[in-house]
Amino acid sequence: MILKNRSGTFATMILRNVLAARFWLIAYVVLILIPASIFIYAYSQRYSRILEEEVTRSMLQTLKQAEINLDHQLDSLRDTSNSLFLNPKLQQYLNNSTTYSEQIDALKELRYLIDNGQTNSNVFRVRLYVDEKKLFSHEKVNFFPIETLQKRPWYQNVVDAGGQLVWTGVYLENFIDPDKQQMYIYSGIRLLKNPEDYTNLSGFLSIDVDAKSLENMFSSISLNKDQNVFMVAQDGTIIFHSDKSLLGNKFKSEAVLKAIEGNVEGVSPIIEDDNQQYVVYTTVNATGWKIVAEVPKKGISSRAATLNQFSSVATLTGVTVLFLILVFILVAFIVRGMNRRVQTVIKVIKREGMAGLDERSTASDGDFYLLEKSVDHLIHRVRDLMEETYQSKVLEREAQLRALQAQINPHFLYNTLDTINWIAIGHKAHDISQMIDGLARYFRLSLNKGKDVVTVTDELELAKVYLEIQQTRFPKSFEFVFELGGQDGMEEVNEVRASLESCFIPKLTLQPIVENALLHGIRKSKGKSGKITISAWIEGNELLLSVTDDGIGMEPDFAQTLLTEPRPVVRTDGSGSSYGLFNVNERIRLFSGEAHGLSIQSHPGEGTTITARFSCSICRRDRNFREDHHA
Amino acid sequence: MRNSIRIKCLIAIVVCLASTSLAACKSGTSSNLKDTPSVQANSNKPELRALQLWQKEDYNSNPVAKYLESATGYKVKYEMLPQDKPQDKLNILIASGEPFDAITTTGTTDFKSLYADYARKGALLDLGPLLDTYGQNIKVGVDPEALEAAKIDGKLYAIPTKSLSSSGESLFIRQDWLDKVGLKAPRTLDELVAVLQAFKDKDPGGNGDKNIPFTMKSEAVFVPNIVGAFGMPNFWNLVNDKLTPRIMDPHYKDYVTFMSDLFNRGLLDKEFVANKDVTAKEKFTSGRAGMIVVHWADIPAMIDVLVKNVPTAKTAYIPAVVGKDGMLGLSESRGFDRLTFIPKASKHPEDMMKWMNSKLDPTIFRTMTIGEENKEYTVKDNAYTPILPEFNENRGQANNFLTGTDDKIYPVYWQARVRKDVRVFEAWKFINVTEPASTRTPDPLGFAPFLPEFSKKFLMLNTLVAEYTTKLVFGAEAISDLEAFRQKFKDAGGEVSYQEVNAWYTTVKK
Repeated sequence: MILKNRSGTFATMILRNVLAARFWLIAYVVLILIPASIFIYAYSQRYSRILEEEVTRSMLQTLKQAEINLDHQLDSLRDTSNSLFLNPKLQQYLNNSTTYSEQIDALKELRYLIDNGQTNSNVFRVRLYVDEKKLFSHEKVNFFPIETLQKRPWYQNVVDAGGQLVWTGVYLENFIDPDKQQMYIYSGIRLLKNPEDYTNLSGFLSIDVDAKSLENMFSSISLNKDQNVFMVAQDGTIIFHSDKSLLGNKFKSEAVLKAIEGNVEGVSPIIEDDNQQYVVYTTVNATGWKIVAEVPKKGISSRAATLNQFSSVATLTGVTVLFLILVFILVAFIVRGMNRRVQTVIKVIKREGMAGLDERSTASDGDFYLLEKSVDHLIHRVRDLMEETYQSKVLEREAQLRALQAQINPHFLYNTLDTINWIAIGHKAHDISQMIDGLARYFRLSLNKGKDVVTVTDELELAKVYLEIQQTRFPKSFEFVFELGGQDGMEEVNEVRASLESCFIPKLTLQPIVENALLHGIRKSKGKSGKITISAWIEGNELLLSVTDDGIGMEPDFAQTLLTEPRPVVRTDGSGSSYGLFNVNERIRLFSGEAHGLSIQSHPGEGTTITARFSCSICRRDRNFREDHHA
Repeated sequence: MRNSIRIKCLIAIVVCLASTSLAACKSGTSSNLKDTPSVQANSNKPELRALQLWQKEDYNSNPVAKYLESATGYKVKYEMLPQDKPQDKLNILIASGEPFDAITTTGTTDFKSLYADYARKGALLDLGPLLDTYGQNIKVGVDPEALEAAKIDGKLYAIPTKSLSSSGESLFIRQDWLDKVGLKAPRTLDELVAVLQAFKDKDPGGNGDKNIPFTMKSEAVFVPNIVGAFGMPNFWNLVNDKLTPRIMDPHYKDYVTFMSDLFNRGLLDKEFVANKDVTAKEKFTSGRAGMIVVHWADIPAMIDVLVKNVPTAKTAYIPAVVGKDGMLGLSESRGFDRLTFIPKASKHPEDMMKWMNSKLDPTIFRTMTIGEENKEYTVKDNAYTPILPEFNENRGQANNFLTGTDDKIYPVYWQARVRKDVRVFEAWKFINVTEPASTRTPDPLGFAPFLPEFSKKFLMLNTLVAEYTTKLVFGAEAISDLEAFRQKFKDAGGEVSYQEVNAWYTTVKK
């Protein structure tokens, strides 16, 4: 299973690789495979033709060699025939022997002549066809009566030739020799005229040759395994054929006869019965016979085709291998180049750090440039992030230090304030004592033991302490009122009080609003006096806190910008930044959700009401969380 | 005495050599002593070298060679003369003194003359003393007449192997024709003429004008069997204690007249002069001829063809016909089949003689020539029949190992060879066994030594006579001119031959 998976993944990997290499594959097919195939095809076509030509030509040469051999043999036979023919004794003994005594002597001499003729190793037998009246005409070894020859189809030819040598085709002859009763022979026959009386014939001389010599000669002709070699006379009569039953008949293939007609030698492609074949032929000088070889084209072509297929496959394989080698070499170069670049990049990084990368001129183009650029970009990002992280770390440390300071100071502060309080009481300075007490409470509530959330009551208390301190600072300049749960009925007030006690809101949400109302609303009004009303009530699930002053007020549009645009609020006394309304609004929205926050109703000269909305459920949940946390 | 010392020396040397070679092989000397006797036993019989006639297969691997080695205890290394021009090779070997222990040649005239030549030049060892000492079997077995004929200037230099004397050619007749014309096989010349006349008149073969009562090849103008009835069965016959060629024979004229008569009456093939052997045979096997001259060895082939052409044909030899004064007979060939001589260069002549002698030991001789009973041959009523193909495989070349034969028993063994075809055997048997011995006249020149003049002229004179006789038979020459031709014959060398032959003959006659 695992294996299958693995092989599956392997296959997909290969597939992916192949897909990835498709550019190369396409290049291979287009640039190499297709041209090579076309080239090889063209080449093989041409090659086949040349090969066929060559093969048939070599076949013709083979045939011509056989022809030369046969010619030579026929020449020597003709010489034998001539030497017998020209021997004056032959004529003499054939004609002038009438008495027994003369015939006996003639027989002896003729036998001598014949034995001489038969010493030619090509000659199977010398036969004389003589007048039947001769004593020896029925000897049947070397002497035969003329009548025997008259039955032969070539008799008329021999007579017409008038003393010229006439060659018969191969034929079956009966002999009386016990071991050679039937033999295939061919003969060179000539008419013997009576030299004293040319109108009178004295006999026929036949030089017989064992057809085995032809058989041997023809069987040694090896052109093709489907070859068919035979010999025909000029009129198409078969002189020699391995199928003996065809001897003496006219060759039945008209196409072949037509092809060889009129030419001495050659190679002709012919089509007969849908069989393509070559006819290779040559002519025997001595007799005009044609040695013909029928060779099926298929045989030659298949040989050529086999060769071609082999060479095609070999070539394609070679090309493919070469291409692969080329690809490997290219890949090797590319990998080396890539390596070098990567090495350079790494080296640069090692040596000069990230900064070094900036100095590298990237003149080159392409994938690797992109890669490098990406890497550059990445590195830059990483560097930015690192810087950012560094900065934040620094800030964090500062914050931690401040927090530590802040943690240490309150105790000291409280103790000091307490001591001052007691000193003030000791000196009966109740107003100082009151202020110090208020200041201490202010610090306690605002620091809130380092926690970020406070109960609404505490926040209201903080606002109250703040306002009391400011009242002491600016005596009789303003008054403030806390309205809890609206103005009707104590019962509701109690309920609201309970809710306020249990509800938590972010620290310092109300105080900045109150501070704004005092410093920007009332203190900047003409009388520098006014009234600040702080209300807290519940609407449904929402807890609402509002701070209303009757100060100078402001443009509603400006009021809106206070909520939407952050602005560092620098205190007039320059003691540091304070929380702006924007900040408060954001904190409430973060704490209670987007639907909550601050709203400002204000018109210049009419005072300002800033209402903060909290989600009650969130307040409670938060309280629960706090209780759990404390437990 | 000197020989025996030499042998002892030889033995000593061989033993020494053997023991040193053994010592070289074996570390202990004690084992040498144990081995010595067997070494000595072998060393008693040295390896012999024999030069033989050419044959196709190697002699040394022949079963006969192996048998002889085990039977005689002699290891013989056989070598061969070449097929072409063995005389030249032999001349060189003899001249260079190649130490062969025995040389076997054919018994033909040329080798006979070589043998005589070598003997006279002293290249050959006189076998007389050796034969007396070691050749008891040879002396008993080999025909004394042959031994005598092999002597050169009264000394025997070769052990002759006799040709098996047999009569070959006779008249072969169509028995079915005889039956048709109601006649029996002729026993006299007159009966023969009557039979031929009946063949001509009654045409039992139904051949019409192509009917030939009697055909023969042109060479057979002295027709075997018929010529015997005129007292001239052989080329040379004894006339008044002189060997006389046929042309000089007083019966010659009668014979020619008889043959001429046959020819003129149309009883003899009128074309016989043109007949080659195959022509005559074809005339007979085609069913056109009633009688022919033929050798028994040719009979199976002829019968095969004849029966194919004439399925009802039956054939037989006729007995030797009797002529005037009871003359009859067939020529019986005689002579040397081969000669075995020991050159003086031989290193082991005694052992060679011993070896040749032991080959004529009755058992060894039989086993050597025809093998073992029921393995290569069977015997029934003293008739030996070969078992084929074992006989041919194991003893087919046995005749080439002959160095002299037991001439009384060999013809019987030889039957095994003829029995390869029953028709051959029957024909051979009729002429050579069934017919009385008186019908076979041995060739008196068979055992003649090399006679230079005779040998030189024999063939030429023979042809001359045959041609003349043929013409006489044809009537192309007149018998009245016979004396003139006889003179011509004498002048052509006939007289010299006559003198030479008879000069030799008078020495044999005594």
